[in-house]
Amino acid sequence: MPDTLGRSALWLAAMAVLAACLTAVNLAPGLASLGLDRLLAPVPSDVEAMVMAYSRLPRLCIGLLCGAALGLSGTLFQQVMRNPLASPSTIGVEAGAGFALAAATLYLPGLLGWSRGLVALTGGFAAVALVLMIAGRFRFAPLAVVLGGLVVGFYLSAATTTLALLHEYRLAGLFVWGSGSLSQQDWRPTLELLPRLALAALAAALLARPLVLLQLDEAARGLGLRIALVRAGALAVAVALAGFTVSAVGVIGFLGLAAPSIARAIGARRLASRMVVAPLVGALLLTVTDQALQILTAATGMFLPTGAVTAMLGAPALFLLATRLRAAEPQHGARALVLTRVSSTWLVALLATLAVLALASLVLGRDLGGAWVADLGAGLEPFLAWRLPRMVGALAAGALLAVAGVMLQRLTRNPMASPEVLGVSAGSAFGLMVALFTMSAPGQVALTACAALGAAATLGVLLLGVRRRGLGGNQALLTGVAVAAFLMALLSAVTATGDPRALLLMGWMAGSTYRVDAAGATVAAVLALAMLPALPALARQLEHLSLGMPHARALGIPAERSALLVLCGAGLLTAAATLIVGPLSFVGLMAPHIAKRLGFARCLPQLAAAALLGAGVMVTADLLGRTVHFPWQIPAGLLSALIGAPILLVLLLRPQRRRARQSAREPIRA
Amino acid sequence: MDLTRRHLLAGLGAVACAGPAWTGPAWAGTGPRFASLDHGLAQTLIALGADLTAIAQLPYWDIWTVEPPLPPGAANLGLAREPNMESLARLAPDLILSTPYLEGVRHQLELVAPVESFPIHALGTSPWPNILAATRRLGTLSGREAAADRLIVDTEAELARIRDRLTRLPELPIVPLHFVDTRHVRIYGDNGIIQDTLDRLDLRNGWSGPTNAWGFATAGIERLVEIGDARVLVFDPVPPDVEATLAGSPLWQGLPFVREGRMRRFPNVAAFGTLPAATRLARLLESFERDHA
Repeated sequence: MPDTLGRSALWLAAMAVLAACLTAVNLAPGLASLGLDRLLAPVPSDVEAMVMAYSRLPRLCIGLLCGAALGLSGTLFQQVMRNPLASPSTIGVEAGAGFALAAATLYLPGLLGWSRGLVALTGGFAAVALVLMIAGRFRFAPLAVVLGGLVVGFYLSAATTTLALLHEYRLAGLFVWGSGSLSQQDWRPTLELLPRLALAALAAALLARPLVLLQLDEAARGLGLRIALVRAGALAVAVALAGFTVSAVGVIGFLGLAAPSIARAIGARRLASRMVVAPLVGALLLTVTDQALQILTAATGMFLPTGAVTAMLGAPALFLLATRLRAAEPQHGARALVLTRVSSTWLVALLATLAVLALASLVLGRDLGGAWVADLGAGLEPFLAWRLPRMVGALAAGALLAVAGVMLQRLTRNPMASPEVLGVSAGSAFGLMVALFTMSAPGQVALTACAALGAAATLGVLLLGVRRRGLGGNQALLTGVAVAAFLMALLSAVTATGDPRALLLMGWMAGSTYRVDAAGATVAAVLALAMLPALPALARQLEHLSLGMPHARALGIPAERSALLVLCGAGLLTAAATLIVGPLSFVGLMAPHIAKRLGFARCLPQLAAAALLGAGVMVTADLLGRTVHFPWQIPAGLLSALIGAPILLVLLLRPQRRRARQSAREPIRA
Repeated sequence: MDLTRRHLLAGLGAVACAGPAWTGPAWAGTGPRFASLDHGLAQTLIALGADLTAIAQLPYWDIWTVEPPLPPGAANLGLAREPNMESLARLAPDLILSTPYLEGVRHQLELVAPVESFPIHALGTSPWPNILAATRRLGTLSGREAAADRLIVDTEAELARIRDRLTRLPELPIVPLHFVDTRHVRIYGDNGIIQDTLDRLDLRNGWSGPTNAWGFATAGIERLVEIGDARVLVFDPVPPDVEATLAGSPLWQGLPFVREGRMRRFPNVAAFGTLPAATRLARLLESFERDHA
């Protein structure tokens, strides 16, 4: 496609004018009153000159640098992965760097003194490696890459959050850092960043030509180009650009996604021109945002971290991009992971294991000295009042999420689909946030009601969107992801101000089962039990739907309506479960996969096995969360992710011994 | 095991007799046993000589609250937002002291013992009247009304004594703050006990920006130029990389209070504390006057 560079230049000029105007409003009065002499050689006693010279000007420069770096990084990611949704935020680089820095702050502070940048880079690379390992299973299908990246990103952010919750008194700074404040006090961060970014930009420029050739896969091979090497090199540069930025100022969410997309939209089509235009767009966008925020802060005294605000602006951009992507989206993921069929006696074994776990979580505890005790008989009675609701709630929620996961993965034929990325969980989190910040002392009932309302509202929006645009299952997922990203950014901005109520919300988001009472557990249990007899009918529906819409229609099945029903049902199950274990457990993603890898390939056995596995993982997480870090507690939702993710990864990456044979009734899917 | 079960039954008995709105000591002579989820309330309880059986976030006491010293044998309940139910049940306190911030877990706590919640901070107003009311109420609950009245009188007398002894400190405004990281500070002002204590010592706060309902503001370090010529109280803990980073910042080195050496690092004062925290801050300021001012 040809460039329309004239148009790009026009847009860039317009953005530059806007950035210049805002910068002028913010800085010009100060600059004018100072004059050049006072500014160039500020004496320490000249406070105005000092602030201009060592805070506001470096802030302007570091904003330009970081914006450009993220724009270039996003462009490289999108080129290498041939995926318009790839970016440092959607591939998990920022979250990986963030987690590495948080862990180092707590456990190896010496590392940070040695090199913050290197720690951030290591984390970023590890996250990308993980995403690529997962995406490789699905042949790097664009949506699989992005959903994998977002899930890894959410997961690592969740892990960072847990560290923060467990060490809140030491990590207040981490909250601010995670929200990407550009505030500066001297030139050192800028001067350290400049050569690093220049080096990375040079490497990117050298890679530009090979990258263009890469687009023509076959031709490139013919030219003897080392495809793997070029890809790896470009990825490394992209991760480095983002990692350096993150270690300098924190997480500037979604700029790396927005800038390259805008560059393409305003006419820069060829790679070479995108590699110039996108960094310019990024630099200008971040400057516009940051200068506007500074003006706002000066007027109101409010502390608004720039990174969180760009993320709030960027999330809708993700949504719009996803809407466009649909037409081009291929149904990839043709590799069947189904290997063996297992007999239903295995289901009985799973059931027995679950029963043992449930029993254990009722009787096991720690006494005041911290020694493990089994409370039996009459000794158990006083403890049952909260151990039982917690256990039942966790068990039911795990089963509900797992079934919702199977439903969504079969419906959308997307292996990364899960209730957690449906946005319903994020919706209930939003309801909770509203309750916490508008009521003076919200109790359990008020909190639950608001969370349920939030989930229902999100579900409604989701269904409306689906009705209007037709049922692209992945559409719904990306809508959910955009909603979730927006809410995470909002939460990050609130947390950065240091308001203690943000900690309450984080505790719930991490999936604490602490608050589950008899009523809540009963609702979840009744729903789970009511779901059981419906499973065979549901399985039949899903078998039909997983043939794909056209096939289903050809067979005379009212596909649209039953798909809508499945989506609605999955939303309800998710909402009920999220109230108990929070939005970050990932049980709904993991349990269906684990079930499948264990050999439960057909729909009904998969539903049953996933439900049992989900319940088992949640019960284990609840038991361990309650006891291992006594007397402190680790939220069950998060612990289940920590338990389940490695299991899933091992199962997914285990070398396959036998190729599955595709049966006629088991259509191809990942 | 037998002992704890007996305690538990006794506690449940107290609940059954008194209902949720528990109003007086259960046993004459020994006084009720309290579990506190809030360090501020625990400060007052200890000052009154009441029986503090358990406290949330105990390991942080010596870092964040410091005074008065914790009674030996007080058990740790873990996170205040999720106090350990197992421990609470095994300890079987007569009353659990909480704040509106923790209202979301009340229904769980009430399975073990009655809960009384004290609205003190985070109301967007000066907490001082709430602190006095809470002190009296804790006096009633622990059967130590006289001790509570004495604590109030003594605190006010001590603040007045220190106010009269401060001569050089009132010349300049004071800015109390925490370092969040190398680039941000949390400054304490209106709506907090630190401001209330400064008011009672006739000291001005040098921060004129708005503060939130909890009584603090988060700001970039560069905004400290707004406080002009002032004395700065830096509360511990200071993150490890702050001093080294700021040493290389010309902006920081140029700030009047840094140049003139009018900054002093203190062990922490509980920002959401009660009367003992006020006394502690006043005495720290008295030492500031002696050493630096």
